[in-house]
Amino acid sequence: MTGLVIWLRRTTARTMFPAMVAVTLAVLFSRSGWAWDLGHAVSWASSSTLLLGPLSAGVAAFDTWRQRGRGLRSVERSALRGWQGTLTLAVAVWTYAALAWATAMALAISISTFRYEGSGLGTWWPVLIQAPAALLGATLLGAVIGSLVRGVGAAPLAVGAVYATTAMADIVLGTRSVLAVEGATMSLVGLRPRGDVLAVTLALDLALGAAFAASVVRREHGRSRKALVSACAASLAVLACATGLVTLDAREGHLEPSTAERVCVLGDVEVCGPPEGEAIYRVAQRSLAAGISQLETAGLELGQRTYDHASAASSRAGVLSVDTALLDRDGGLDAWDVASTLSTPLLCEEFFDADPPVELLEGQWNLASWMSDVLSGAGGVAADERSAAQKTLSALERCAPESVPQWAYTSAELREAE
Amino acid sequence: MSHPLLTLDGIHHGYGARDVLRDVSCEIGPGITALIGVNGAGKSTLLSIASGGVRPRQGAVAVGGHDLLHGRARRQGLGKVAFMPQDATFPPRMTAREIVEYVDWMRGAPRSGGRARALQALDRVRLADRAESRFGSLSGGMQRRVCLAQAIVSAPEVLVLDEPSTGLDPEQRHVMVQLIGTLAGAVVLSSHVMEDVADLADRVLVLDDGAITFDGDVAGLRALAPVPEADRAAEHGFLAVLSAQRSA
Repeated sequence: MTGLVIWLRRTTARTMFPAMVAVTLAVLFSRSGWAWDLGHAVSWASSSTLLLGPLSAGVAAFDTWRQRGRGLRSVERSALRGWQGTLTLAVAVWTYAALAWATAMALAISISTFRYEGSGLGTWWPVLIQAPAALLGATLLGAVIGSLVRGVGAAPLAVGAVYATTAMADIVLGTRSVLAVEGATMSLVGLRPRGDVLAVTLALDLALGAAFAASVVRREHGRSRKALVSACAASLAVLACATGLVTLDAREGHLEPSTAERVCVLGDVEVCGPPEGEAIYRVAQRSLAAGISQLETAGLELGQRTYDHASAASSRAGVLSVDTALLDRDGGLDAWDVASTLSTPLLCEEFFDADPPVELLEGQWNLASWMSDVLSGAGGVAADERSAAQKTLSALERCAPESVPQWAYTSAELREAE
Repeated sequence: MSHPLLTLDGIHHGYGARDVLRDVSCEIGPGITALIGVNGAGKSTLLSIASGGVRPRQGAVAVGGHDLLHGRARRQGLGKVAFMPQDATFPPRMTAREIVEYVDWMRGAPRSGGRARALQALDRVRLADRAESRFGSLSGGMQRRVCLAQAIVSAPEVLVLDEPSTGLDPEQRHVMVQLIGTLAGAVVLSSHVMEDVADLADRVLVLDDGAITFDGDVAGLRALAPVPEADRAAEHGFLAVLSAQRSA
């Protein structure tokens, strides 16, 4: 513990800590929309490991070279806990990287939970272990490079080595979450991580970390049998995990549909879907109710009052379209999302045909454009347009392509552009 | 000789195809033992082996009766020996006190009292007032004394010092020699400075071409000189040992 406390005080990572925090916050706020479900928030906040891991590796390599001169290394070799020296330094560097990551993560979870009432971390909690494990692996790889390359070049080499390992894992194993965590850029409502892939990836990160640690000890503290056996065991574990990922076909994706029971936000309009999207449904319900009211004032009669999130869509309800990034901006559904949702009153089976009926698709597009104009007050007030919109809606409510009227509506935006 | 604290038995070592040490055996008890030899004679390698930092290709090393090369005994042996390297490169950002405390921790000292032990060791090398100075800001002589402090902090039975006074200015060298003279237990030091050896050593070992060619005291070394009463007789005695060895 004494060694760790001293290295925590003297590692370059302490000086770099503000930069590390800045990196994680910059990544976190470079996108919006993640706060609406906790799984997305956790996943996105972890994606900073793609920058933080190489940075941490670079610092570990630099410190291993700069701070641990020949004098200290020769003293370590003849000391009881000498083998812990480099590892303790790497752990100190990792502590700062993990703290920077945790700062952004805590902020993401707080914003999602308290401001957006995002819920449903559910199956995403392992990411909270995966990210620190990935950072540890990357940092220990940096320590390996620092013990091999005695010079300032160790730092950039370590950065490159971490990126190369992640890229290699992507090419060979089909996962970008080795020594990093691939964050989701889209909403994760209705999805969950593949438990087996996640577990093996986590094991791979830990095995890589163990292999790097054993390599450093062997390199720095002589050819002890224990270090050799540890390095061999860790390398075998790496091979086993890599084989596991290939066997599990990680390339096919690391997400699968969630099986959680759906929840509904009830009211004049009902919005349902997987539980982790509940905060979204509450906002969507208000926006859809206001949209329906506005369209009915404009003379359109809408029969459907139940909408399902796209990930849980059924043939009994309309399909909710939502861009969570726009939810942040407007505090409610964007006019186009309201129009898209209301113009899809049923999930018609025909939509899944190899050759879906053009009439239905064109009708839905025309109707959505017309609704969007009405909702934003940009047009759609002509009686013939309203009549065509009503007929199109009726056809879509019955999934009847033959009933879609011949109608080509040009949105106000397009008219303006022309 | 009193009970040996350090035993080297049949040590063979080398780098690649080159043999550096050939069947080196000796027992070292309390007092100061100087290991002298020309550059490349194998002194640093032998001292690294004696302190448990390098595993020889062949032979046995024991400290206080504990085998320094194998198993549980190694742990006990390492707790009784400390090494002061020739190259005093320690983390430049650490303070003198932190370096000594860190090495104390590495040697397996108990957690409590580490800071006090470090300050005490620095006081012994007359650096109490620079305890919180960064290592990189200290002069070469002071850095060497920090290096000595880290070696004595855990009160080892065997202290291995690799050229402790080499490269120091006369004043710092004098301080270093004085400090070494106060050390207890078995002290094994290598040096090129025959004056220091003559002042300090109770016993002298001459290492030449990987083998011990002289084992005696300073008076015995002086006796080998053409004029034993002359100034620098110890140095001439050393040269006589080398010359005799090479002509043989």
